[in-house]
Amino acid sequence: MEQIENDVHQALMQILSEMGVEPDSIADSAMLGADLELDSTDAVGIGLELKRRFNVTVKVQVKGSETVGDLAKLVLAEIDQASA
Amino acid sequence: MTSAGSRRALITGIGIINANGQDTASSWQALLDGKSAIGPIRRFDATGLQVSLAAEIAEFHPPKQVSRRLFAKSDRFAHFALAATSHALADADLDLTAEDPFRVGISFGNNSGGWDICERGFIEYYEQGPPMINPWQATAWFPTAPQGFVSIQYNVRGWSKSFATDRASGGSAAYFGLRALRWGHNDVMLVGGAEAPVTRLGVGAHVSTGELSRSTEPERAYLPYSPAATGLVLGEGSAVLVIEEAEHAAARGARAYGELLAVEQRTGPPEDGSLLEDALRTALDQAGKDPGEVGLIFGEGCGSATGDLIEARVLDRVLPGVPVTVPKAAVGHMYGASTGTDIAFALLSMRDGVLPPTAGAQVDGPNRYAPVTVATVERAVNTAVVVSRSREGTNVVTVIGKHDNRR
Repeated sequence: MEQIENDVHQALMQILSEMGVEPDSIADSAMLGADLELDSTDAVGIGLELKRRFNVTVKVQVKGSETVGDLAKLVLAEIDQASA
Repeated sequence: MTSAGSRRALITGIGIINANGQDTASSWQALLDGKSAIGPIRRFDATGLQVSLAAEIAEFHPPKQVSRRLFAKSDRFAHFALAATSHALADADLDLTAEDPFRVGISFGNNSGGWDICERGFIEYYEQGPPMINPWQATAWFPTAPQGFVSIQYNVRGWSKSFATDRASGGSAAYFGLRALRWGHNDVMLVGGAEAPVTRLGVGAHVSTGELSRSTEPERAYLPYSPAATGLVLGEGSAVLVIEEAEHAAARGARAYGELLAVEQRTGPPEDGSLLEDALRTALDQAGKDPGEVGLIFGEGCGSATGDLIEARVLDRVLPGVPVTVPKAAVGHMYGASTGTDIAFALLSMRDGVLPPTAGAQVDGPNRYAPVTVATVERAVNTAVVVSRSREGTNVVTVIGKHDNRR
């Protein structure tokens, strides 16, 4: 389980970094919308990359207060459900 | 209230990126050295395309001032525009955050759109299935994307437009860019364009126009005004000029390279040379210049027998004997970025008192339809003309005058 948690965190770090988000600003507590200034198109892009990498469908929210950590938990829950 | 006619347009900043250099100094020096960037296509496998040469930017180095976020969601042609804008604003020493954003505008040319990101997107879509559509493809591809991304990066909110008129796309951008200042819409205009057609699909689409040279010899592939011409060679890059209303420039103590005196555009049947002649005569008249005052012409020189002959005859009639130079023979035809690049080189010719050579003109210089420059010649230039013509009959003539407070 720890391995997959690491993989998800690393994947999010890489996805956000490739989208041009400064790596220093990517923390678990960073809000996707308010802090990282991601928009709805970015959310679609993140969703597609997560589908590619983990074959899960996650609705990425940038309007509310969802953080990088929240998103990681969502992805892990989906992976968990898929493998159950 | 300043009347439209008295609003003068000074060029206070230059940003150019092309296959000969990613900044003004290196690109200008390469041109003066007679260096051509035309060579075999290396960015992709061009097998089966009938065209094997282009003037490519081998390794693009974006300036650090440009947002990584915008780069990630935009295409190569917008990257060039963002970088050229950054260079132009730095050159003009103009901080747009201190300007009224509603008095700053953009007038860019682009012909092809952004195929680099599209081709990657198509491959993902066909290989990975329908959900995998790159969400940025639509906004990244669109020919107005350079205008859009530059607007976002620099918070530009004034009257802005993008123009797609084939080879004259950048010429049309200059035409309306000048008018945006003259009409009083804006006090600062970013004028130029961007082009990145050197992708497999982009080149394939251009092949169908019949305008591309199929030569495999880089030094003979693009011979403007030559009986031996076989067409043009595609280039890629961007040119952005900072154009300021004269009082605005004076108020901040800006130095100017020159003045955009007139831009005229005429559209009609491509074989009708009288449209180019009318644009040329009217532009000179509006600029207040006699033909004898013109020291250098930057010609369209598209490398087609009929197009070049029509243009050369008009130039000979209106501006007999005036040297003609074609930087496109060195950096390829950049369509939307070509006129901005030619205007930039014209300003540098005035600044340095030189006529740049036309790459490859040694091959058959004396036999050409127009008096093309063969070598670098030291000579003062106070007025220059830039000609831009499209395949389907758009003719744009720009007249630039020297301004003496630059150095």
